[in-house]
Amino acid sequence: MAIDAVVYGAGPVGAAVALGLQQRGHRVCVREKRTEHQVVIDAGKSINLSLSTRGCAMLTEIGAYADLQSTLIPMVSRRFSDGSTESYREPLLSINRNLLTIKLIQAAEAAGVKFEYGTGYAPGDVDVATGSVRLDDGLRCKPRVIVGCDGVHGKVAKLINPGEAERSSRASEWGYYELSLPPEATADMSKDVFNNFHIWSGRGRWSAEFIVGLPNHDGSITLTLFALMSDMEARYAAADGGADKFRQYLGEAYEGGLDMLATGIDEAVAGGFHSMLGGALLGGRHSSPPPPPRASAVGTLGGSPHSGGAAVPLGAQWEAEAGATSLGQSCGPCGFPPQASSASGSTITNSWRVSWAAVAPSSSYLATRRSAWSSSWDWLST
Amino acid sequence: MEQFLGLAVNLGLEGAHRGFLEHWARAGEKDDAFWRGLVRARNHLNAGAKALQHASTLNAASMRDGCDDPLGKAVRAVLEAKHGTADIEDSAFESTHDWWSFCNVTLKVVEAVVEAQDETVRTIKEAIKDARGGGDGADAGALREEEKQTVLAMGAAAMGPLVAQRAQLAKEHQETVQACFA
Repeated sequence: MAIDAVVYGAGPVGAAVALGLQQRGHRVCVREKRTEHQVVIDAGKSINLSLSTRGCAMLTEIGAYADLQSTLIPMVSRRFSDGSTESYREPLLSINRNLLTIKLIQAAEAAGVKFEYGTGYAPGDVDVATGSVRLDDGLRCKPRVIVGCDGVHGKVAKLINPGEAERSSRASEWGYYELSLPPEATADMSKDVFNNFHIWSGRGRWSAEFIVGLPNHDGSITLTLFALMSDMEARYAAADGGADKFRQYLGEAYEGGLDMLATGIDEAVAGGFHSMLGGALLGGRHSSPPPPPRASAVGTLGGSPHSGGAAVPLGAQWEAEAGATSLGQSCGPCGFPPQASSASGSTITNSWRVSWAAVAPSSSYLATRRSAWSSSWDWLST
Repeated sequence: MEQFLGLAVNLGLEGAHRGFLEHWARAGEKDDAFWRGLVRARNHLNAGAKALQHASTLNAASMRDGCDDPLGKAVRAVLEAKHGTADIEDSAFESTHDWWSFCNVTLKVVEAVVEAQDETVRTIKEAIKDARGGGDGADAGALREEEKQTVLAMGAAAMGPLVAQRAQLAKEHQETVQACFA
């Protein structure tokens, strides 16, 4: 079968690199363990990401940035819960991870990339001796490259370096969980307040824990609570009035009435914070020093560097292989409906907030960002 | 904190961009040698990923730039005001966050720049604390005018080497990537 590249994983990086390869004349197949419904229809709860120049450069490279512009929300500074701020040099750009992924998948499909859902890497899929890959139709292809974008727990890196399987499984004791400030809770915020990277530092005995909030187009703010995972389920057991205790914790630990305003508390407690476990930070805050990064994180299939069939981990898998924390690339299934209906700037309901569509560069991000942003902040008043 | 929500995705995309897709612009047949070169070039970016690990251990709780004590922040502010430029690519001193987020130099190089900057700030801080006689209050964030002059004087001596280091590392990086495809 004529496939030049097999990409494992249909997350942001997998979809982006698939699109890039297809654009460069290669025939690409993406294999994703989740079903299509799970990926593009009901993607579940999702963390928000903050894109900056590096990420936007890639999106520009593959021609995806222009279509994403209307979905990005500029965040002009860190805003702490006491009202103080620290301005960024340029705005960071808030985007829902699921939305970013869906947009990139749609672009890749339009370019001709073949997606096979419900079928991630399985033992025997890749014949290490020949570098061939079994696809959904049962036929085998011999791609020029296998790209591992299947996350920090992904299989491709382990396929390449079987002895390193434990490295990408080292989990931190810290994790994160998603809550939300619904639009009605932010309705009184001015645009100068809303369009920021929001930070709530834990008070008193909770000083090691914190919450960050990234704005969404529907006026909500996605909250990400960072805390010791091992504590959470025991502290707020569902059978022991956990939801009330969790609200009490939010009230005690953080300013701003999050105990009254945040949503998702009951869901978190009822689920035993399982989504939090799924979103474990990897690599950071080890009780013992993390192992040094590998001198080489990739290899070639087929037992010989001359056999062709290079295999390359990218995205979170690469970061984990190199000994890095991974977050935002491997959030796992987490309950936030895809915002396809609000993907267009025209659906912004809070028109007093910054409309990205009104201020974003019209063509290339890199070509215009300096002139648009670095000289002044005047556009904030638009 | 932005590093967690931003650097991971930006690093991931940069790895796919500059460690992978960018090399298609190279002339020549996309034969087996090209693919092997691609793998080697991607490996060369590993230190960029390591930077993320470093950031996580420094910044997980602080949400700052790895130098979040008042005196360190004050020293950084003086240096950035003096040596920062409108175009970050020409800048001599920027916050860690800005280097990581808004600079086009690969993260592998930026990591080394950030380390060197941190060392510069630490050295200046220690000099100021010594001049203050140590003890309680020696690490206060408010800088007197003569202390600002000390920061500027010590910083001026460090900026040249910082800029030269960045240029040299970027050059070496490009040469190494070129060699991957030789």
